[in-house]
Amino acid sequence: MCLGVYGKVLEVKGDLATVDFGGGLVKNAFVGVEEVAVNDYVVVHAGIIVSKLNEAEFTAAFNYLEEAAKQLPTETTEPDEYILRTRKRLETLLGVNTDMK
Amino acid sequence: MKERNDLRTLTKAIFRDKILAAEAVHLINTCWNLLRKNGIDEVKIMNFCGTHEYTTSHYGIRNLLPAWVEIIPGPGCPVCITPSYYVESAVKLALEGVVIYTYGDAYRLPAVRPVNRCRSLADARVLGADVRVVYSFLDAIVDAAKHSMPSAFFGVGFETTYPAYASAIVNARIPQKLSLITAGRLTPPAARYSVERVGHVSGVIAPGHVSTIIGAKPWAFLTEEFNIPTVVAGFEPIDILIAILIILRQLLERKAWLTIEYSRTVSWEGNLKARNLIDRAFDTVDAAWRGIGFIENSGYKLREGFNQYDAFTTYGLSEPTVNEWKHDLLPGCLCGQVIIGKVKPTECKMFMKQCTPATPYGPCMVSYEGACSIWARHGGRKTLAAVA
Repeated sequence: MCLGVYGKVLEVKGDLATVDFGGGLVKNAFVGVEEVAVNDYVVVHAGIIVSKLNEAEFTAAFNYLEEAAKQLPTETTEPDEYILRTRKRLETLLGVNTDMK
Repeated sequence: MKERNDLRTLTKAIFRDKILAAEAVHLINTCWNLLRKNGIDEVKIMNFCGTHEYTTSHYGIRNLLPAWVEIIPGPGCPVCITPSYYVESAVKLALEGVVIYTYGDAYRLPAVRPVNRCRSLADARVLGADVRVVYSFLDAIVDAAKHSMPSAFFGVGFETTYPAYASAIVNARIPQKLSLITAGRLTPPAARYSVERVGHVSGVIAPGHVSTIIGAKPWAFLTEEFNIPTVVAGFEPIDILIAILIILRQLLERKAWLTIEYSRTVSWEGNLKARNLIDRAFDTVDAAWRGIGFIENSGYKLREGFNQYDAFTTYGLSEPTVNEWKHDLLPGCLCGQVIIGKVKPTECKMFMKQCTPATPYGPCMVSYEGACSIWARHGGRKTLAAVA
């Protein structure tokens, strides 16, 4: 039961918040985190906000790929080339997302 | 001013991207080749959580991996591990006229001992019982406030689900006639139980959303006591691939660290407010897991001051003690061993014969997070002979 759905907070009233899950689905949820504000992105599990999404850490997981590329000798790709390729792809995806709005 | 990114769509765009996934797979293969050169010829990674197993199977991740890197499903399906006596109690109450609220997957969960020929809440509803499927405890509270009938919520779940119950209890939001069947369980004690019994586990992918509540620290025992590389990971396919890569690299360096891959929402300490709410409403007790038996300090029980919300107290039901607990799987069902990762779903003789998603015989075939149900819907992996 680790199923969590990402949503955007539309309104907060005491221990309840209204969350937009996208696709026209809007539901109320208990506020289970210390502080939550309108426009925050949150993880909702079975009717409670269990966590907020940290935008600064959003692509941090890809640092592990870069780290691995630097330290693992590969026969086919130079580490720098690999890292550049991954970063470019990430930037493209981030850009596409912004353009879509 | 730059408009803020929509993190919902961005997650899907980035963490499901085929090109980035291929980059991760390339590094996994590189790492595996080095492991082979270092004399390691088999890696078994346990993904604790049912949602991780879903991602692994649904996106065909097993088939992207080197043949001898195996992903085994662990005990992270709360519906699968809910003891039969809770189902029997809920069915009994439903047949006695109590409105039962439940999640969709617990609705079909079969008991071992039928009550009035009903094995599940779905069966009880066929006989006219009032069983209502809801998305959350909040939905049940809203619905129960509209009527005056006695009602009970079938409260299965892990640490992620329990803050919702605790929040409603502590903030006195529960209507007078609604009570809770407390069947909640804690995950780290089950992880310990599993790795002690499953034999050799090379790495663990720890549950991401459970860890939003409890934090990453409770998983430290896996690295410190068992020397098993452990990664708290997210639920998108690239999250899983990165977690596998981190584990393989640690195996290569012969080290075991606890790593948070899912740092976009998990911290070391977890959600202090939610943890505090749970502590105020619930005690931790030794508790039974279906097909397994009692595990120390692995269950929630309402604290003394909140007995008015306890369905077992309200309706005079009792929970079996360690000595009274009886094995609660039907004959031939291997769910007890599937849950702890000792047996693969396909090794059970009943898999996709007597036991299918449409006609579940064991609990792991019921829930969308059950390993058998996931393998039935999305497949496991090609045989080693086929990919070698």
